[in-house]
Amino acid sequence: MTVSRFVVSVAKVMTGVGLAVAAYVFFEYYVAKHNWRYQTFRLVGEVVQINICPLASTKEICPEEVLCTPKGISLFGVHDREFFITRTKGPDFAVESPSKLVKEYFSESFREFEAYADINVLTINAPSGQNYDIDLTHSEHSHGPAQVYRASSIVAASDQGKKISSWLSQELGEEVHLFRQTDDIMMKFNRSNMAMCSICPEESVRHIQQKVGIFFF
Amino acid sequence: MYEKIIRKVFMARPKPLLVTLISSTSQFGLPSIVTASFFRPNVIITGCRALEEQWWSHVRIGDVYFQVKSQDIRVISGGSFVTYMPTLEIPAKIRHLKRLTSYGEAISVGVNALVVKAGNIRIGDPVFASKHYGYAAEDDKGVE
Repeated sequence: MTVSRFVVSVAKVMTGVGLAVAAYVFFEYYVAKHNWRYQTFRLVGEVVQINICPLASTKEICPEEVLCTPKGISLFGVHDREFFITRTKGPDFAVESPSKLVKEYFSESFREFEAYADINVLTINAPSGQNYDIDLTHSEHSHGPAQVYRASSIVAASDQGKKISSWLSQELGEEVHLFRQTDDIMMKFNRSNMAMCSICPEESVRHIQQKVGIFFF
Repeated sequence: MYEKIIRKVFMARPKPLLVTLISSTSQFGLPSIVTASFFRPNVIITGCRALEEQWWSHVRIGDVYFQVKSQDIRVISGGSFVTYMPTLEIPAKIRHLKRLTSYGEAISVGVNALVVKAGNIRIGDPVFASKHYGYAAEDDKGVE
């Protein structure tokens, strides 16, 4: 009699502990999934304008909505400042020999150009009223990838072909080339700090999994 | 101790997003024709207190989370910015900017942020921010 009562009480305690652990695991999972932990965000304002500039240094376009990815903001798959212009002469230019360094070029006259991204098309409008459509699915690479010096970083980029370059040169009044950045600027930052702020839920989920593993196995 | 990972950033700038506050740019005493667009940011926010963004740690716009990495420092060279006015299409070398020298040789016009959780942002989306205390966002050091 005493033994059976003991077994029942042990079973009750074990059931209670099991339920408590299950509730804790579920709570941790739910918190991680919905980013509740460390959530100290408060309302500070609202977005009034979004600017994206597919061709660097040209007029910005102001879409209603853009996609934000870890690679940056993009409109129809074209990232902000993904296309840019280089000169064809001078010490900065070395497209004829792939992998040599090219430097991005800025000019005040670029501001009069507009570049619109659409599905698989980038349209460049010149101040003369002419426009040029670049088919993003089929680029005319006239040279191999070049290393380009952009904003204190060296990135890989591909020349977009002679056709667009000659059109741009005609519109700008000087010989230029259009490039498209092909690789990313590499940057290191601390993942753990992100997880602490609960904006990286998979980190917390992994943490829970580790906890569960330690507890049960 | 800390796990280091490499996050790819596709930008001419080292940070993928420049967030500028209207209230902050109005703090500089610029003429009314000079708006926040002057600094060519990606996202312009209104409704915040001036220079509040310097204390932001993380920002949430809609479902998108950003980590603030640095302040966007613009150096004043000879009383003018090295930039342009996108809407008026005139060079930014306007005399009024000499006023800014009272703030020092360099000023912060917004914050650079990394996208941590992807999604869409729209005009009119509410902006939420979490603050960190004790120090302002670091200067540009991130690119390696």
